[in-house]
Amino acid sequence: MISQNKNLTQRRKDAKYVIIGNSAAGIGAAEAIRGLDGSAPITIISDEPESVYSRALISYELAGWLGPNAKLDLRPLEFYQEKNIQAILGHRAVKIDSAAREVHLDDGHKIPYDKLLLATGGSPQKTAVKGEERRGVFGFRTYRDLLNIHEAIKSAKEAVVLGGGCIGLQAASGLHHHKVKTTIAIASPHLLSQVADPECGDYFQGLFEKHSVAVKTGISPVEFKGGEQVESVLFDDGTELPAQIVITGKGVVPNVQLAEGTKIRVDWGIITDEQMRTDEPDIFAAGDVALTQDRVACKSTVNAVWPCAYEQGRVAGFNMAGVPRKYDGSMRMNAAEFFGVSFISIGIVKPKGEGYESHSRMLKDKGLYWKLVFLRSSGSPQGNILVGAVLMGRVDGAGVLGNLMRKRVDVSSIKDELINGHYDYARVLPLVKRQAGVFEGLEYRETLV
Amino acid sequence: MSDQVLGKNKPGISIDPATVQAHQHARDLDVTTIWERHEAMQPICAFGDLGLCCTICYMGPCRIDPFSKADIRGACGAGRDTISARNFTRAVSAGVAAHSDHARGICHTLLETATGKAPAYQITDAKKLKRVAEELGLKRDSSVNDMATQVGHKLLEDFGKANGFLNFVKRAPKGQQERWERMGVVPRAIDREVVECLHRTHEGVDADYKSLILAAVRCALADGWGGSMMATDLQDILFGSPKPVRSKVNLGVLREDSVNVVVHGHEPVLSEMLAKASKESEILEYVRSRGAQGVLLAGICCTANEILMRQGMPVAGNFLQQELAITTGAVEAMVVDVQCVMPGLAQAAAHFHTKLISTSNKARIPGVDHVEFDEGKALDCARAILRTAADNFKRRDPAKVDIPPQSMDLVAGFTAENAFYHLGGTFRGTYRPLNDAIMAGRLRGVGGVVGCNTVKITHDYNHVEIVKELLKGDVLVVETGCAAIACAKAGFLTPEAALRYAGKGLREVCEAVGIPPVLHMGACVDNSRILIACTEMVKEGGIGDDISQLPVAAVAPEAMSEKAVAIGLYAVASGITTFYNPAPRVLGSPAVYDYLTKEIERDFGAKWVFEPDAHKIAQAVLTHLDAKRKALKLAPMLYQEELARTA
Amino acid sequence: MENHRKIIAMTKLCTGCRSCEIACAVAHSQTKSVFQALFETPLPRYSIEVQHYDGVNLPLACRHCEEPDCLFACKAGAISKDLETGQVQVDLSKCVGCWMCVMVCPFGAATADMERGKAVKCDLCREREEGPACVPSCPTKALVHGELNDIPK
Repeated sequence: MISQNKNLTQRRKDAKYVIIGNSAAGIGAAEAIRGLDGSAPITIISDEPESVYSRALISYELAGWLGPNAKLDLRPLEFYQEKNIQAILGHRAVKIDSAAREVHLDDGHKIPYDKLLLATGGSPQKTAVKGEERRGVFGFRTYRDLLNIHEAIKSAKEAVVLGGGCIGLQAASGLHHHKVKTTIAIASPHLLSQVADPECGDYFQGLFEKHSVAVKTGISPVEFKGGEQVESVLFDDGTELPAQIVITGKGVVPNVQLAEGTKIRVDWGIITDEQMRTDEPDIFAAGDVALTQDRVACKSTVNAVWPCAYEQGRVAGFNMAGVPRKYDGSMRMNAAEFFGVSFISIGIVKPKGEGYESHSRMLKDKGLYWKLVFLRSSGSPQGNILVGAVLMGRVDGAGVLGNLMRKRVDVSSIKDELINGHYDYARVLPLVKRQAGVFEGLEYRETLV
Repeated sequence: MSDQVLGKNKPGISIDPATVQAHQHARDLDVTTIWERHEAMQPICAFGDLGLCCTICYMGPCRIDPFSKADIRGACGAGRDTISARNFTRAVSAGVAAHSDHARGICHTLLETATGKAPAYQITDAKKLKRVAEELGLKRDSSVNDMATQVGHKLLEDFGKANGFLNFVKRAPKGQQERWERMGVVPRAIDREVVECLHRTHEGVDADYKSLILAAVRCALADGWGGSMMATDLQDILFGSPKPVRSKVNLGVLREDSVNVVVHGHEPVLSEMLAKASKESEILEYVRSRGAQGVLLAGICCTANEILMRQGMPVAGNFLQQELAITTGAVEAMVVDVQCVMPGLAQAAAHFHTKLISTSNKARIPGVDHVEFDEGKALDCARAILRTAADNFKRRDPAKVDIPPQSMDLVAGFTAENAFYHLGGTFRGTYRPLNDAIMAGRLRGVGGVVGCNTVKITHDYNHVEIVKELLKGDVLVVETGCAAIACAKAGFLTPEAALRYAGKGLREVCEAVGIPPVLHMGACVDNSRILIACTEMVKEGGIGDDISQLPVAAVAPEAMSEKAVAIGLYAVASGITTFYNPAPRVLGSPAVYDYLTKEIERDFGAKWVFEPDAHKIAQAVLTHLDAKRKALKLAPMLYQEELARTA
Repeated sequence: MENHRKIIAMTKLCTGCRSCEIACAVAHSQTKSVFQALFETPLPRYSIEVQHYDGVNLPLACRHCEEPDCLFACKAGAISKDLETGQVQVDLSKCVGCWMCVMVCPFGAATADMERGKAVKCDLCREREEGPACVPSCPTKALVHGELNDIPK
């Protein structure tokens, strides 16, 4: 998967690499380490019994996108064998003894490590709504969740989805696909409120409503009523919606429990440095559990999105294997498609504060929308960097924008082009030519011929 | 993008062994031919090929991405339909212009002949002249020259008259005339239609694809029932109406012991004179004095067909073989006039002793000897050319000579007037026996297989394969142009061919009358003979009230020139469904494509079918003929299985 | 590094005729014929795109990066890199059309085929015996299937 990097230092041939977590970050690290070191022992520990599967595919499976013989495998079943990785699945790591350099499992086993990665991810946030323990109230994160929802669908007539973000909307699409009468109920004034403007959110609301998925905004649940099985949701405005399935979509809480008893500092997520190291030597953190520097927001945050998780795992893996590498920071980024309308949102899209400049265009009958957010760069008063982008209906070229944001380059010379919806790579080429130091790498040089 | 070569079903450049041999010889001598140049030109531009490139104004050139779902427009706002239709209409105009200019020339020759200014020419078929004069409402009891003068002037008017319609439109069956009136496409004057089409396709004029196509229809009709028909009739009048004649075809007609002169192009005013001169005893003497046994005049392309049909002169080959005639190393002079003359000939001739001589001021080739053909001194010109060729005989390099041995017998010389004279076997030509044969199911119908060669398709493959299948299916085939030459080389134009290739019904007809199963009707302007033949079939009755009901089809499976597009369009507009390949740059516009292949049938009773595969074409033709038979409630085929009939 | 070849464009030779796009689309069509491909539903897609800005014509195809962002971001594990050839390929049977790759490709070379619900990017004509179709289609020979070192100065 990864090119052989011959530049190795400080690598111990018999170093034991232990990774807690079997999802994006864990696999990113495992593949990075195995790519650098063909023989060192790698152990992956996960409390989920499933082989490496993509939890990111759950919503697609529910929506029926994966077809009848759906596989959620992130990697083939032979992955562990081929990569010579010891997989301890279905066991929870309960404690880290950083002095003895051991991980304690729930069955009493102790796994020794030389380098340890905490890629423990996050868990769906509890809503603190009364009745959350009733049957039929689900998070939407794990394979178990998916199976449970499928079971519940068999007898459910109505569903309520409490969340207007990408995951919630995907869940709603999925339930709709299975012909469950679904209502999306959110506290925010519009859908996708964290990642898009009202214009865009309202467009999607129209789309969902056109497909008979009701949308209620500005309300919060106060109780999940019913018996053993949830029967309805009561909201703060007095509305009560019958529901045999309730999906809570309040985001994830980083699983930081293993930091207890160690020197590892936690502040919502596990604090990491540029090389994904925690405060404990030889212990790293990556993925939804880790705090990283947000590239555009310029603050420490947990960006719990798939590409960031994998990349953080990869960077951690490099550093664990003794090849120093820096992580240049995370960004919030989401990509989705609802009822045939694509959507990508990256970075800061609802700026608050000084110095931001937003430009957006909605072409409703074409189903097209884009928004770009610039920030006057601190380097020069005339300079502009791109800090946020939303694309709806046509998402090609999003990566070019994301890359500009990531590199924090001054885009003043092409700002008008970007605003007018021209953001193909050719627009960026003049910047690449002028700033070879920023756009380093063989692939950029190939475009300069 | 080599898949743009449509119908390249067999590997190799040609199915004709003479062509293969001559081409190899050319390559051995490092002569570049059309095949090498075509290969080097790949990949050809798909935008152009699809008709999605517009070069009409200087804000462009603009092109439309065929794979984009967005409604892309050129700078002026023209979309794919407009651009494609414009390109199509321009092609038709150019094709019509070529045939019409040829006709105008013949008109002038007729007038010069009638007024004694061109003594080499004479009125050979005075009977036809009388018929035409009568038809045109002119005095028929005046002298031949007087009649000729009147006819000449009257027909010249058809080029630019301000009012009225073309004279020969009245020849068409009522059904066709009514459709043309209803669609507003009755042709008015030949040059006018060409000019109007050029006007319409100019930047900022006609942007409606249907409007453009209908203008192209009117222009094409001014060719079919105008220029071409005029050329056919006047050439018959001047040089004689063809009669069945035997001759030979292919490169093997060239002789090592003779002065070989190849005439290439389209105008019999030149080739007839060369043919005449080549038979004169003084010329023969001159030639012998230069060391040769005799002089052999052979033709290429339409001019070959003209002197074949009327004088029985041999045919050296068709369009793709023109360079190869030179590269046999045995040609002392190639004399060319207009149309289908490749500039590449100059490069081929430069490798040999061959003198390439251009004769028309309209068709000059850089670096080539030019002898302006003066009709007033036609025979003298012809004799001078032959003498030049004879003088060149001693410069022939025997080491470079390689004449492929193939030369095939053929029978040609069939016209609308005489073709069914034979079928009738009685006092006058009549179409009754033909119609009866069709009605009885002995013949499925008539197929006109016409048109060019193209380097995009294995040389002659489509013509031969399709005709083979049609003959097997009891279809009487009539041919013109390079198509006729292709089938002649394959041996289809002999009465014996009926035994080998024809189905039982067709064979019976051919045997009874002694005709080949494929009737050579002449050069490409003589496609007008096919229109007249169809008209006669309608008049004779029993197989349709107008041309669109007849069990007939036109097939042009190796089309190359703009003339071919014009012919295809006038055939369709006259009610003859035309199977044509490759499609004339309309595939980039679904609207134009749909109109030409579907909706046009509602307007004119026939449509285009664009199909590259030879066997599919043949099957589609048979199916089409069966559908027409079914609609006429004709008796089932006597000896053939009928194909699944389409609606 | 082994011979990791991809499509590199000599932009000075590019006239912007876009024949490469057509050749690419035809190579990825069902019928493999430009005339018939136009009648396919859905239309075939091209994955090399001729972009133009500031006087430069840039035919851009997937760079088959040494460290492919698309591979890292793929939710379905559908993208892999062959260590020998360097090719980065999407297993279309696994691709779910999540558009992660579209979101992260710095060159915008991975695009969203909304009709088929799959990511589209240059696959170096893996199913074409003669190799990449764009290269021979270029009338000015501006496209090279090779490495940066292969480009003549």
